[in-house]
Amino acid sequence: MIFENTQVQINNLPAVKQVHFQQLDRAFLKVEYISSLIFFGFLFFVIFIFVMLASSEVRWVKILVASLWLFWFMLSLLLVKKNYDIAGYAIRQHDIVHRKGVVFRNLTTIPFNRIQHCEISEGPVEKLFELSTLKVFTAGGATSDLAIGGIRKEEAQLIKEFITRKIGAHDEEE
Amino acid sequence: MRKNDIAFLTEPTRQSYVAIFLILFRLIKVVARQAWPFLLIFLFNPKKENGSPFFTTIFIVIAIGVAIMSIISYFKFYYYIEDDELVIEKGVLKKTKLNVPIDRIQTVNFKQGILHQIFKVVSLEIDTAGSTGHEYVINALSREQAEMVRDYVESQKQQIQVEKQGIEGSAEVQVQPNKLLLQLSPKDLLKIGVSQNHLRTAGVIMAFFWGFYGNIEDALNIDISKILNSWLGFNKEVWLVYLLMGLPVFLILSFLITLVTTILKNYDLHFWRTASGFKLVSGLLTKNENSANLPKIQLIRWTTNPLKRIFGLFHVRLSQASSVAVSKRMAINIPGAYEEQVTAVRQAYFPQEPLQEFEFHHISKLVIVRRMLYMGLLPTIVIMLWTYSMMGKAILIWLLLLPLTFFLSKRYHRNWKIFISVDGLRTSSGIFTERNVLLQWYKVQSVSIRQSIYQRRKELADLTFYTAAGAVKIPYIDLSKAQQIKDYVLYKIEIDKRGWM
Repeated sequence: MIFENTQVQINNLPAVKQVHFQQLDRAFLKVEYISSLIFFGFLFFVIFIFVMLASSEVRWVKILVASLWLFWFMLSLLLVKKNYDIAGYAIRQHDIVHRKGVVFRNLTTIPFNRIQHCEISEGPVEKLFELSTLKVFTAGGATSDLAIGGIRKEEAQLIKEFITRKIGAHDEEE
Repeated sequence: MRKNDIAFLTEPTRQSYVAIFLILFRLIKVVARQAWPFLLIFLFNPKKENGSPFFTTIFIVIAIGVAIMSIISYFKFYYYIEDDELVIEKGVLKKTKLNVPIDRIQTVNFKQGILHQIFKVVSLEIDTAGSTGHEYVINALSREQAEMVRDYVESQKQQIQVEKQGIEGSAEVQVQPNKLLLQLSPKDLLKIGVSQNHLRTAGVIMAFFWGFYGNIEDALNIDISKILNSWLGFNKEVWLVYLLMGLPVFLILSFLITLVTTILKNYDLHFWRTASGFKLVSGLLTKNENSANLPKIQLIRWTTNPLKRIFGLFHVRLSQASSVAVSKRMAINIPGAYEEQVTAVRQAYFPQEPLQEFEFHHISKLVIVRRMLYMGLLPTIVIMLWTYSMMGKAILIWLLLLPLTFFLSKRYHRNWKIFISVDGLRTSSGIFTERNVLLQWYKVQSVSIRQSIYQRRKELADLTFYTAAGAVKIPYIDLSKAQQIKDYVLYKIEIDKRGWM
């Protein structure tokens, strides 16, 4: 193959900012809320035991810990909602894009011809709502991989098949 | 000769008998690591307890158990080649059979500890790329056997490469002799040892003793601070004198330790350009022979610091595609090379580099603001509050940290340079050290753009390129620039049909 080295007109390239992001399923919001509740419930339980067992002299510590818990819990719930509004994914002709994060916004793009394989997994809470997580693996290590939660099971299956076909097509081209 | 080799390799073969000692030695190390407090008590306990016969018996029982395990493991270990796969059978209680397809083998490396070198055997390490990256190790082979295995694997892989490239590339497979690129003389080693990061060793030693402080106190049942006080008295001035005397001693100690470890690790270093890539041989107590296959190299890094600059030295690292945990170890690491070798390595990895035009970019000046805030203002306030009780009004002196951080931050910004060309990227950064990275676009696996809340407001971003051997991050770049570069790189990944490894 002759290696072409023509200058590329950058303006003609499909810009990522024009991408329309597919939002995650509405039910995913509930999944995230429930996960949050479970976590903070557990934490509350632990703190409760601590409060009961600790002596009454350290009253101010107990109040501090309890208010920290409350603050963190409230903040967490807020972030869950905000993250749900922001989170999204998009499947384009040559790659898959994932956006997430409230405080730190991350936009990760993986070209199909760099995908090693895909997996679909389900957390216990996700399963209740018939949602699943699509995992996309690259050779770039864990930070380079995608994990998109909150996709309906059937959709996830379709996407996985689509990607698998794309990977196969690329391999054949070579 | 070839027929004989293959015949030998296809039959289940045991390792060299030296392996028994190695397994034994390794098991002893493992036991020692767990039981060292007991050993310490046993040896140093001032009040010799009557329980020592008990400990001795246990000790002997463990020792015998370990010896028996070693011998049995040796006899149960086999390796051979079958159907284009390297097979390893091992295990005493739990029998394991490992199959490694030869085309999944990335590199075959040799390693020799002191014991290996004495008995002239070699430990063979096989690295496979892939996210589950296992490492396969055959503890002791005679050098002859090991080289046979390595040559066989490499010739098989070259054959596969030829088949892959079809008619086109077959002319490339000529047997070229290895070219020695670098050989470190004792004088070079000295230069490298001297120009290492001694402060880091000092930090490691401090952390080591800090951690051990408590353990030693518990194990020996003593109170170190009480003992010190009884020696030195409670006089503050005496303490200060001892501290001032101790500090230079401590620094000299760090310097010597770094020097010695560097010389030991890089003793007699030879760096070769081979037909398939590069090879590095070095070390005294542990002799390493690592190969890097050119297509597997994802990134090149070379670093220098003020000390190194005096000698014209660079620390060069070739990062290969490997499982993430292994890739740092598997990188070919040359602690001190000259401009000549850096050029040779760049030339081999990115042949078009000198022919391409590189566009120069700075990162955003606002990074100075961020650094001033997190590394200047915040720590200064914290330190001021922390030392208020001790220093009173004198804490104002800490404000001098602010102009200092400003100066350093400006330098950080000025030194952060980005060079972009049609086929790759070069970055250069660092305040006093200079870290360079060379990356070809087609090696990129995925791209991410990250923005903090502040960056979103200022339309800035961190742009990261992930490769199979590590990530390259450009901080605080204009969002629009980041998007343009990212779109271009994605386009390049799509159209460049070269395999990234």
